[in-house]
Amino acid sequence: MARRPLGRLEAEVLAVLAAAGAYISTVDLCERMIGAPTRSTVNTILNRLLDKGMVQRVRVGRQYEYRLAVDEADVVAGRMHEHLRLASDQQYVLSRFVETLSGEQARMLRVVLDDLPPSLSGKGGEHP
Amino acid sequence: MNLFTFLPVAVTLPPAILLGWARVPLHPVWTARILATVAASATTSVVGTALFVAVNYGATLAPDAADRLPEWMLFGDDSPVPSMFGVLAVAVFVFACVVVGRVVRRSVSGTREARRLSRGVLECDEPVAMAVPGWRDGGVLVSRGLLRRLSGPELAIVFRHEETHLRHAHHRYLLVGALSRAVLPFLRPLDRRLRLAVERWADEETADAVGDRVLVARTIAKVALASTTSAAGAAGTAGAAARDAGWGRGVGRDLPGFAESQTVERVRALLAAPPARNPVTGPMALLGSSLTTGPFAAAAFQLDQAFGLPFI
Repeated sequence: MARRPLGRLEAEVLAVLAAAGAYISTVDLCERMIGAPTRSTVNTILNRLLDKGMVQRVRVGRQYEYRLAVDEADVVAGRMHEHLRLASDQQYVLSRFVETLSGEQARMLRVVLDDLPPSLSGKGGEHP
Repeated sequence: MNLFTFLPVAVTLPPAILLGWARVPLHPVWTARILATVAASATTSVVGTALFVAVNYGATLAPDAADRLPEWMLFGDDSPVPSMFGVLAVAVFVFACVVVGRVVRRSVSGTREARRLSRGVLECDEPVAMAVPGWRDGGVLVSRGLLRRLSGPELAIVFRHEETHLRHAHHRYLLVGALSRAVLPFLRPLDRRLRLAVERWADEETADAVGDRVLVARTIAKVALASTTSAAGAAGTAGAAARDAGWGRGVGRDLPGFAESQTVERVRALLAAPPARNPVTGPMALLGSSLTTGPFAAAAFQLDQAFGLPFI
């Protein structure tokens, strides 16, 4: 197996944990990842994610099981100014998952979503 | 100096301008590669030609110093370079060096800050997710607002999307686009299309991995709408402040009414049928665009002369 950047593996571990939605063991985690990385690599990633506070773990028998840590803090600082450079869309090599929409663009997006056939739009129609 | 001096620019610039306006009818994987190639060739040609003409202008002004330059750096005919061209070339080259330095510096500092912040979760309510390039210290930067809003399957989509960015080193494409538009401001539409193609690339791979295009579309829409509604005030001020601080300059993706949002385009594409993979057309088009523009970009830097390669 070619060595892969840890950052990439981190993203993949997070994706697998998020999709699992429950505590899963490291073995399960490895199996669900593309290219089956070694246990030790995955453990390195998991330790990093623990440090970041992005995963939680419980001891089950002789090993740990992990899940994505979500929604533990009810209080959100909510100030973007501290992260001004990143919070604004203006970056050269970093791109946010979505760009900030103007009111007009948000309206257009809602129109696109409203065009969905009813069979498809029933699933997650919680958009305001 | 003759008309052939400007051949590389004449060949590489038109496609770069054209592809900013015309949609490439290919899978985003190929679109992104072609646009990056064309942007890089055009920028290299312009900078190379400017440098070449500038050096020869210098040789015109100071013939003694010119004797010490290698032969391939000078025009064969030893004809003097008119001041008009010479001054223009020097100006273009100096401008290019300054803006390239600025883009690189800001990219480095921005990435460094993102790495620092990605040691934890960004504590703000706005949903933020971005891929942070880096071998050991790269990763994904997400905000509390994103984690709170999305369900497990939706978060999986976001992480998968960012993983695709990291796997294919998309930051390099973005850097090529940013450099091109900084050196040649009229390549801004090309840069926009390149950015869109890179996002679409990640969207399509995510849809393939997850197997649910509609859920990917919905997740993007959900995050985008949350960025507007919940943080309308904050985002507005932050955006304005960022522009004041100089961060918004030249990018302008959030200018209201500038163009249709890329997010809307991505959602629309995901709700449509998956694009054809172009297993033959894609590589052919990429090869074609590389072969037509690449050698000219190299020629602009006189590489064919330097290495004694026959050209054309």
